[in-house]
Amino acid sequence: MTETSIVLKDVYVNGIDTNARAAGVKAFFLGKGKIQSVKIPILRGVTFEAKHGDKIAIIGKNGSGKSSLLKVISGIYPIESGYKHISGTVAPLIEMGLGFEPELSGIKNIKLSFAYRGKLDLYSKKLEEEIIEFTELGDKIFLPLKSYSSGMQARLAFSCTVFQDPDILLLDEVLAVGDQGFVAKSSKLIKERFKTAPIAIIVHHSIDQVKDLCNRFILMDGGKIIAEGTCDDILEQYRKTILKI
Amino acid sequence: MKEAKIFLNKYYYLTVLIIARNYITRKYQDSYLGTLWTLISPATQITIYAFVMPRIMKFPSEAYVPFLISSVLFWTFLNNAIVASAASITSNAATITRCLVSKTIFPLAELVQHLYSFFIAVAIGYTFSCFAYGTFNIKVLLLPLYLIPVLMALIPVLIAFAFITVYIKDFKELIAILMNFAFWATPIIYPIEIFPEDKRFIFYFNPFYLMIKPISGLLFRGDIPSYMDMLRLGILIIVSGAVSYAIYRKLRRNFIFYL
Repeated sequence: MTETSIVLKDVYVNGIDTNARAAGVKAFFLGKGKIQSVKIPILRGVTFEAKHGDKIAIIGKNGSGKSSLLKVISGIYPIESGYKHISGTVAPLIEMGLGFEPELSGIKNIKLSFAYRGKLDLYSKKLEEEIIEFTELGDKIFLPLKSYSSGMQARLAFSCTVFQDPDILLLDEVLAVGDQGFVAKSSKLIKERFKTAPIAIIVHHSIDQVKDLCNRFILMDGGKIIAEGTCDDILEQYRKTILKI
Repeated sequence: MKEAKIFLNKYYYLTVLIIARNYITRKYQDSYLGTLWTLISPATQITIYAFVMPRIMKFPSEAYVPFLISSVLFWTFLNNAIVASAASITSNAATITRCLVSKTIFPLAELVQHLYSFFIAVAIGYTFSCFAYGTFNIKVLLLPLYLIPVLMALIPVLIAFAFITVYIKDFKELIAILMNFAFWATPIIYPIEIFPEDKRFIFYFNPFYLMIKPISGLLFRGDIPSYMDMLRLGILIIVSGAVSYAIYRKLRRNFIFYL
């Protein structure tokens, strides 16, 4: 059996400015220019490896490429150049409430959520019962989602997202939601999942909130990994280089 | 091969069915007539054509309504499936940019949704045709069997169209216009017999005719498609499969950035 691992070497990812492209098409047909794809750099030469036992925190300001890196690892974003090899099942807990349908009941949305994540093979009645129990929604699970309060929807979304048992766990920002009691419960579950996953990566603005969970710390800026080191080193560099304090 | 692995996975098809069921529920939620609407629109069309066409085109009007039922209902399915599939990825962009399933699931879910509507419309329309015109033929039970090659020719095109629309947003509007032309260029509301026999071969270059002929013939007179019909459909499957796969391979890689 191959050991769980992530290998990225000199990975480049570029997005497309679709508005500029559409303007280019119009200009082309009016004889005033040519069609060209305007690229937006997302990741620039990222080299990154992770092996069994790694619990990694990636920090950086908004737009630094943290979430995009998770999307590359999870397979949502294709790479333009470089090398990528992922060994093991990946569960990106990136988006909550994915594909939720307001007209359907909560219980039907649980199955739909698994379908959109491509995780129907994990879905079972037992797991469904565990999710329902965790949400504490009781009989309300049979009501249409549109009748739920935002707190109830968040509970269901969180529970559908977090009940997976992957080799590589990817967490984007804080996922704990709902009222105070549920926040404590969901934070505890996330920490458990983070500890038991062979490889776990969390993306966060603040290193303080994740330092106890991780054994590797990475700093990103401008689509690049600019530093890796101990919690204190990265924290200092983050303050100096990014926050400029 | 990655694609083969995806398309041979039972969860792929289960996901298609779950999403299609979601579309159907969403479409008819809180509607008084529900899925009956899938019949009302083609029934209105059939009524108008049945009244107008024999007078304009001067062809015999007996058995014209059963002919229309057999062809218009299938055309409605083809048209709706193609137009909806073309927009299936762009209209679900918010979900698609975040989900991990194969994006080919979305045009297929549209197909299943419209196939469901087609079966309801055919069940009601054919029952009406049998009672009103005595057109019942036991061979109609073979309909699902002869739908298989038609769907094999259609599915790759739906997937290719869905991916093209991501890159060229105007494509779905263009498709809607082209389908209007195709409607009049295909013997749907007029029988092919109104054309001289030596000119009818032209229709064999029309892919819609190749798909409609076996189905409408079976529904109309219980005609089993000939070997030549199936051979032509086989060629269409190969051509549509090869061309659509080439388009899909070319466009699938970076499409997420165009949504």
